[in-house]
Amino acid sequence: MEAARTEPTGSSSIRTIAIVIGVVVVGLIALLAFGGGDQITERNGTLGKRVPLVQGMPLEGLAGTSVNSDGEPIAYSIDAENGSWVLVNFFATWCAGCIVEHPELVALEGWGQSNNLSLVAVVFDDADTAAIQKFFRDRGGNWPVLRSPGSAIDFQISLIPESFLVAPSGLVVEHYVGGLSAADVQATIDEFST
Amino acid sequence: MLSAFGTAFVLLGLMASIAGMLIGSVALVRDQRSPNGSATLKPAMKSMRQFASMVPAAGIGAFIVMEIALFRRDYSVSFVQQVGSDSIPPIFNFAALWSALEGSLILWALTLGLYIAAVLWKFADKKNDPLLGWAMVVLLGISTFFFGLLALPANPFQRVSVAADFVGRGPNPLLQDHVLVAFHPPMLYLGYVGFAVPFAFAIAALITGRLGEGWLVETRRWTVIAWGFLTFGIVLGAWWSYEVLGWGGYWAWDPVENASLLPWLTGTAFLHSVMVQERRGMLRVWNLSLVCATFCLTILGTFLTRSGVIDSVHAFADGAVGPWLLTFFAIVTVGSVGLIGWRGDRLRSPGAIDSPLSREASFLANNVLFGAMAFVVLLGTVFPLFAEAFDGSRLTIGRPYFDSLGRPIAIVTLFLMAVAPVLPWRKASTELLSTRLFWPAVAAVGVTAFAVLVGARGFWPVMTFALSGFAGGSAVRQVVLATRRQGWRGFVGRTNGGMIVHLGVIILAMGVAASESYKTDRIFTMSPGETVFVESHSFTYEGLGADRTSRRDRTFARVSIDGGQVYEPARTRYTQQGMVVGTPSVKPGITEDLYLVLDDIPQDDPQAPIRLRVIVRPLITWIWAGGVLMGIGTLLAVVPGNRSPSIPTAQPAGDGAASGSSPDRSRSALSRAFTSLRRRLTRTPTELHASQGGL
Amino acid sequence: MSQFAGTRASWAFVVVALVGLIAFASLGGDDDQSAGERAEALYDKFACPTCDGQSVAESNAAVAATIREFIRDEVAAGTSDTDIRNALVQGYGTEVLLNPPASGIATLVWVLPVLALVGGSAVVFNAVSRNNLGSADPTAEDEALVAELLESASDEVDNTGSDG
Repeated sequence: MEAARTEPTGSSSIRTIAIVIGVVVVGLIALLAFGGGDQITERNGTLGKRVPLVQGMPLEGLAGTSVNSDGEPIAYSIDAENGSWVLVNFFATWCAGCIVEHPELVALEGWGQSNNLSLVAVVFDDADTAAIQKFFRDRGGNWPVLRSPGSAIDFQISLIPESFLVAPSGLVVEHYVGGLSAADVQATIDEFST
Repeated sequence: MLSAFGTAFVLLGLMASIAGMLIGSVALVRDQRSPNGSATLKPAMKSMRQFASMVPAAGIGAFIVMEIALFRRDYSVSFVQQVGSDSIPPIFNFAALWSALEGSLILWALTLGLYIAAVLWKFADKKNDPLLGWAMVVLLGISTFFFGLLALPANPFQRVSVAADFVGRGPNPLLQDHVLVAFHPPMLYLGYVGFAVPFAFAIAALITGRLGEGWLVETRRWTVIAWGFLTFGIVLGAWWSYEVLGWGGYWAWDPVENASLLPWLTGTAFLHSVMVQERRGMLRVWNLSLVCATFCLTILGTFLTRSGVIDSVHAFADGAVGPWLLTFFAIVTVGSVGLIGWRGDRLRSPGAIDSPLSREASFLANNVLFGAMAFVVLLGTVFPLFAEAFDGSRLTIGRPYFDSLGRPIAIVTLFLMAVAPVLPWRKASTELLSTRLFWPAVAAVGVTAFAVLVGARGFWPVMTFALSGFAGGSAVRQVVLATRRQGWRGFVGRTNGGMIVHLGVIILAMGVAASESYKTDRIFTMSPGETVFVESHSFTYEGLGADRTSRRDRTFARVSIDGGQVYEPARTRYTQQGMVVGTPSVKPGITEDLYLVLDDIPQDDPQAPIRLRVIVRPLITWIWAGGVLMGIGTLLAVVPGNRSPSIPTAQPAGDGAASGSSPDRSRSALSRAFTSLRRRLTRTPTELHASQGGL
Repeated sequence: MSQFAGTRASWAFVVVALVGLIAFASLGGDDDQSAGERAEALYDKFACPTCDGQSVAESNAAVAATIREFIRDEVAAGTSDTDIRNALVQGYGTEVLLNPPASGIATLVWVLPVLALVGGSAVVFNAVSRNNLGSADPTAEDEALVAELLESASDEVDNTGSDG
């Protein structure tokens, strides 16, 4: 609309307006270039915040389940892991990427035992418990597997496999979508530890 | 092998664009500097045209190579590894080309190449005109940029190693299942890229200083065509969103949608205000600004959605091209603003607006409305960034904001659509308006009475129906008068085709008002055999079903509507992507759509209840129908209207469509005479006339 | 009928009919919302936290279903809109509000469009009205030009305007 202004001196007013619009445009460009900082990276709402509660009864027939003195399984709670690194992994047996990722998790589990890292898996949209049990029997892995229906919402899951790295302080520090590599996770933990 | 061919085509496009641009601009600058013109201009123009004709060839070549790679599942090509899949049906494999950033840039380059070819062909008779030369330089500059993106930060033809057992994941699941995916993006791109042509001519006119009406006449039809594609592309996108995304809506004011709406708004404003310039010679700065703004906004939209600056459901976030696009946007915008400022003195327009009751004043009002709406959309889209940079606050700006500001603007626009078409140029009397608007007003009463009778309530929707009746009556009146006078030609030409477009807009507006205001949305927990009722329709849940392919597991609920046909809303697991998508099932109808979404399925027991969402949306098919009618109207508008050669016209291509009867013709001749009179008067440095400049 | 069309009386009839119909339709609606309608109206006001711009009403995401359930329960329990709003903001941050608040920096997002519209209208109104008033007495040169042009222009001139 500015360009339609009627002024006694047509040309110079057009120049003035052009300069004003130019300044606004340059401001907009600067804002787009420098504003907001970390927007290029994806933003999962849990990053940098306290980890949402993950708890539930680990699936039976799988290893990695704690039992009490009577031999009965104990419910898992992520709060009990405070002080150690935790990798929360969302997966399903129907998900092709999860099958590809699994060996990395197994490697990470082995590394974690001497590096204060534990794993916990949350089942995403997969009702077939027998298939999950077979999945772990065939591919190894020795960590608690939970059904925690609210967690997919809390962690804003959209594309599994997705994993979240939780620091000993309880803050979520990293988010991996579509398959992680053990080396990446180790590097992140080393970086924080030094 | 294919990756080498593809890269070769990209490099050919890049080199040809750079060479043509450099040769052309050097020769044109030299020609402009020397007083008698440069003798080397002609051969240089010829050589530029030769390079320019390689650009479409390169675009077509790159496109074909990528399609071959997709169909052959050649996973050694990086883009095929990203979106290719062994298991998707051919049409989605074909459409996979534009399912991610790099491929969509190929489509962009191809489209631009085709437009360049069209410009070369269409203006073959003016091939040595410096204005055309500069336009071609600008077009080649744009293609340099897009081929440059393909060659450097976003090369889809990179050669990658591929594991023996590699199986492609395929495109995003949402782009695998609906046929509209094959049409919506190409339409949108034809629209987006099409605005490059009027932009190129505008820049050329600014550089050469030839700011008469000539270039506008030459590019007006191109703008109409680009606008038509963009309109149709946007409506198809809304339709796709409705059919696939499963939220029962079609427009979410998502940044990607806003990015396509912005150039549409400024383009629409231009198509109207350009008529004022053609008829009266006014608004030249404004029209140039609108053409430039439209193109700049297409680039800004591409940046916003392709750089990851703003998150969106269907943005292809990729940080690598962001800085490139932003730089290009900066060059294009600052360049345009600078040129307009520099040539401002030559843009002083003669003429003035005599009366607020005139066609030209109504076009000004149209421009205020469309400009304001474009401002609202742009502000709402980028403001969260601004707020975050300013004080770190995180804001969401969504539907309620755009609705509350857009609704009044839309209502006033509808009112204007009723009044403006019957207004004559220069000045109207109230008696004239009272005669011409009477039957449209009766139509408004009729439509409103009918709407209220069938149960429509609420201020905004009923107001929309009333004004739709008013505007519809006015558009029908124009078409009836035109066909009575000109026979079948009363449907073609800019003015008459424009009225058909108006009718499309009106039908669309009624569809939006009804489907938003009278939506019913219910969620039921249902066991097999159970029946629920919504808006006098019955829905019976008959049981679960499943099918499984190598790329997806689909679980669906069989729901029969009114005891008749069975519909199958589903939840689909895309195993390659690890994604769960709810796929709706729709029973469309002229008066209402029944839309079923499977919200939740039982995890273990197939007899357990499901959660079914039932949405009833009246008149939603009117939106698609309105979009199709707008497309048809655009086609009619580009067909040349009634043009009688016996009438001498001052302009190379007169406004033929508007001159129906002989009084009209003589008056437009007089109007032109007055325009030229005013032009002469404004050269006289009197206080009185100086005050008329600048508009 | 055609003699009646366009007369003052006919227009009065049309305008009264329109105003009456619109007033009837606007006031005729029931003011007291049911709990379900209140909940539905609220769904439209909140953003689904995981799905970028979609409202809780529109989104198919699980988190949106959770928020819908929360709102439904709170409405049934008689919680006020403000309390529901505050609870959701506390849980999900200000981003959960689809409508930017009219406070702080966000005020600008409401004020600027109004300013733009008013400014644009003022410019256009100014352009139209100023030129109306600007018709001062013509000079001799003007009159000569007009005479010349009138001569050259066609003789049949219809001043009632065009349909084109």
